[in-house]
Amino acid sequence: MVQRAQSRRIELELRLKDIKYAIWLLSRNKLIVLGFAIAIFYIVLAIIGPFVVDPKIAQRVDYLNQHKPPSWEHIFGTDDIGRDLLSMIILGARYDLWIAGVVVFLALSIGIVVGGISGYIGGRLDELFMRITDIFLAFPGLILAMAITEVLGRSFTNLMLALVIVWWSGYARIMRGQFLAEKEKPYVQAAKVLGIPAWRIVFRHILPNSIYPLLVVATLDVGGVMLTAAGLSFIGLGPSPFEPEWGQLAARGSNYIFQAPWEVLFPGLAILFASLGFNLVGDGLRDVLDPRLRR
Amino acid sequence: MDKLLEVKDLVVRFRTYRGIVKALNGVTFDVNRGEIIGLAGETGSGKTVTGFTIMRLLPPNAMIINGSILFNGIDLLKLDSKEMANIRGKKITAIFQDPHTYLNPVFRIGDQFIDILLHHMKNENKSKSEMKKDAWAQAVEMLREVGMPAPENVMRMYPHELSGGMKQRVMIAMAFSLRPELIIADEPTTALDVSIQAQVLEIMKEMQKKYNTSVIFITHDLGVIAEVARRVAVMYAGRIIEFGRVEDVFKEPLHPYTQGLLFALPRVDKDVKPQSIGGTVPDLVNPPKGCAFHPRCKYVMDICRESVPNFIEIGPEHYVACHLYTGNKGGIKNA
Amino acid sequence: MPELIRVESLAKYFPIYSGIIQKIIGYVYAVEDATFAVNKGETLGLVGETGCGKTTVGKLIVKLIEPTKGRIIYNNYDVTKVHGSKLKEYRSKVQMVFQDPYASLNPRMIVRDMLFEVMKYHGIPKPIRYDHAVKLMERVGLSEEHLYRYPHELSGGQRQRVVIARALTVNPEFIVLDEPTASLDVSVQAQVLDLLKELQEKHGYTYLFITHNLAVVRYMATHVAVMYRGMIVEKAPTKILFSDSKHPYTQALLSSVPIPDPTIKRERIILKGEPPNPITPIKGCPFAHRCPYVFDKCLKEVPPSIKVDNGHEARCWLLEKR
Repeated sequence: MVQRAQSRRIELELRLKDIKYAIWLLSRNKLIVLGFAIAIFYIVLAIIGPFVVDPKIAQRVDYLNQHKPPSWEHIFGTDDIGRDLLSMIILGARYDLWIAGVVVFLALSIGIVVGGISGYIGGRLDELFMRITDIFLAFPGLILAMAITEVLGRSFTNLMLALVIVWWSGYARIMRGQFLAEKEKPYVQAAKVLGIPAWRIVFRHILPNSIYPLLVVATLDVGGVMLTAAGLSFIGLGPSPFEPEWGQLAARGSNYIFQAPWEVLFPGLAILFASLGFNLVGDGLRDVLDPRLRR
Repeated sequence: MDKLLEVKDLVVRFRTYRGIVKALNGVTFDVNRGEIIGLAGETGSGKTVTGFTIMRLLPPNAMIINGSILFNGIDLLKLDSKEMANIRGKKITAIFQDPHTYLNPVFRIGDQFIDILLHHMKNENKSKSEMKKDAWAQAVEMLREVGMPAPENVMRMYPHELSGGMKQRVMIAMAFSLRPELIIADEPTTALDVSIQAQVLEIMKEMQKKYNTSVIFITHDLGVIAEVARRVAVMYAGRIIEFGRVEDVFKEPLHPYTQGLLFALPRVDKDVKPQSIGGTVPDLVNPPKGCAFHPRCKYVMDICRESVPNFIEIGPEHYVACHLYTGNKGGIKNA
Repeated sequence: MPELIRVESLAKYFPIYSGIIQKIIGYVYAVEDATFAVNKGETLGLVGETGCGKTTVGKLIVKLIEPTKGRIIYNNYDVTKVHGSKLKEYRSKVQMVFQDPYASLNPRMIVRDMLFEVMKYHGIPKPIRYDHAVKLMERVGLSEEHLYRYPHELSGGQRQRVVIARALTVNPEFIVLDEPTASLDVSVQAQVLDLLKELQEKHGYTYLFITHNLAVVRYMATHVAVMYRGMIVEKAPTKILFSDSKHPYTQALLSSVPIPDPTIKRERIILKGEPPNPITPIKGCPFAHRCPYVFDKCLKEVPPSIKVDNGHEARCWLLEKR
């Protein structure tokens, strides 16, 4: 008879086995490994950014050093207010990753709740919720975000709010579909027959099995949100010039594209690689989470 | 009888996460012209892999290590993909369990059917529309032959408008339309209800006789094999362990596994108590040493644990791979 | 043997909805006028082909769905409309083993947690749960280590045993088994059937065995009910059904099952046509359009269940002629 402590150890071994298998699967594909490396690099950058570079240089205007091309002193050159572009990009990592992370998290939360309730209860409530979701989905994302920021005013928080409003409906649709599908599956029906209460079935059985496709889409969306946020900054609906957000930098740099191409090039590349990295992570997650069940 | 297909010592492995799966370990059998052979076995026995290997439709992680597949004297394993594509569809064709692998849901039956016919038609100096008309007429005729009611209407329908039994009939019609010499049928009636299965098997038997087509009927249902096949090959752990005429194998099974399989079946026609075989199916990544069945065999002897028994002829057209019959002489030390 | 469960004129119609306002445009007549009873310690085999309604009957009995008409009486207590704590009590007496063992187990739970969960909601105290789980494993022929496996780490036969063990956790009296061996290999099927019989002998369980496999039914059941298009067309003790069936459908079904003995030649009744669509309402005998003995009355009136002998009934106008 296995003791309580032993059974805990067996469980830990099991979890480790699963993680090892997941890592093996991921490591087969070089691109995905690259994606993970990029994503981790950016996250680390975002965390240690303000410690490596003094955040106050973002506020400082240096008229003597404007538009300097890349050199040993300024590896990425300087921007139109004379700030070192490399430092700006490093500091900017926090902003963009923060925007992407918060927006996706909030949109996911709202989407899960709305979609889950809709899918589980069904009937007229489901129809009502889905029509509302459809209305939000019907608007082109960028236009809706523009309208909201215009109305609420230019700021960091309003940018994020606008993006959450645009994004939640997609997740609600997916969640609802998953719930509808899982609800009819035999293991859910078996749980019902075994006398397990409804709330427990929802949270312990249906939810964990429905959420995985959403997680995959969410990681892919991290890149998408970053691009959209950068786009909004580009048209001037983002935060102020003293906050080193990449889209901001690229926007201002685009004014000097012929004289000082590095000012738009490097922030643009930063955005590109960040979204690429997270996209690949999303791909990898999809590979890991799906075939796992078919092992 | 005239030999259409001769499979010798086929060895196939698969690369997977858990290691190398030894799917086929020396499969040997033959098919005569116009004959129906049953390929029987449970999950993991290798019967489906055998069928796919003959068609040369294995997934990329498969490795054909050894063996030959002689079709009309030509070794299929030595052909390149173009030559094989010529044979596939025209001379050798397949019928599957799930009609969805065969029927595209967004095209009408008629369009899919004539697609196949046109692809293999000889260019007879007719215009395209004339050829289409010919193909259409041919298709309707084939549907009529398989007993499809109102075949002209069916040609205009989509797959989802047909029932399971009707879809299988379409598949049979398509398979026979090119007058192949060999059809590989992989569990074609397993998903059908008993009464529909009876209909479909009748049609298959009629068509097979009419066109003198050979059929390799892959299934785990021994009752179906007893109904349609002339000879049966029983597979276990990637090898054929018994091969012979159905009357001989079913009435006097030689191999302990065949015996076990037959005794495990409940019967509709008499009261029997199904006997379980005991033990579990072997892990094909690490199969047992010697005869793969020895851990579960009640007649196991020392030699069974050491060497793989040879496939030898015991009676007319009756072969078995078991040390009970090799007289302790014929064995390969761990193939 | 006293009667444990009885079902009277049970019917289930599923409404078909359309449009935003969810208008009802028709019904799926899944089960129609089903009446049967099962005695304690016995097994009733419910056979039929796809779409005949046998799975729906199973779901009605375990109260996954509510009947449109009819009554379910368990141990002399009318449970048709039961809910709340009485329903919970019913759930501890009546359990179900589902068809596909892989799909009826949560892929993200280990076996131990599945059993613990059931025990939690049936009031089994924490300290004894682990021992109880180990005993359940042993009862179905598995061992303690299997408690720590995920469903995908088990073979088909093992999964089915886990599903059975889970159903036994609440110590039920009556178990509905829906195609419990359909997805299993022949050699494994024999093991699972043996297990079920052994459990029945030792603990006195009563079974409703739903399947399309007539050979399995002959071995497992004491009585058999044959369903066609939602109706029970024949009921009889097993021996009699297989030797002296009266309904043309039963006869055709029995003759079309392939027998693993090539020396036996039979007169095979091969039915023409397809099983009817349950969306069209019944007019006359549901089997009339495929019956080799059909006559006028069959097309106009639905035959009632006519008594042939003790415990043997069939829905066929041919029986009236006698």
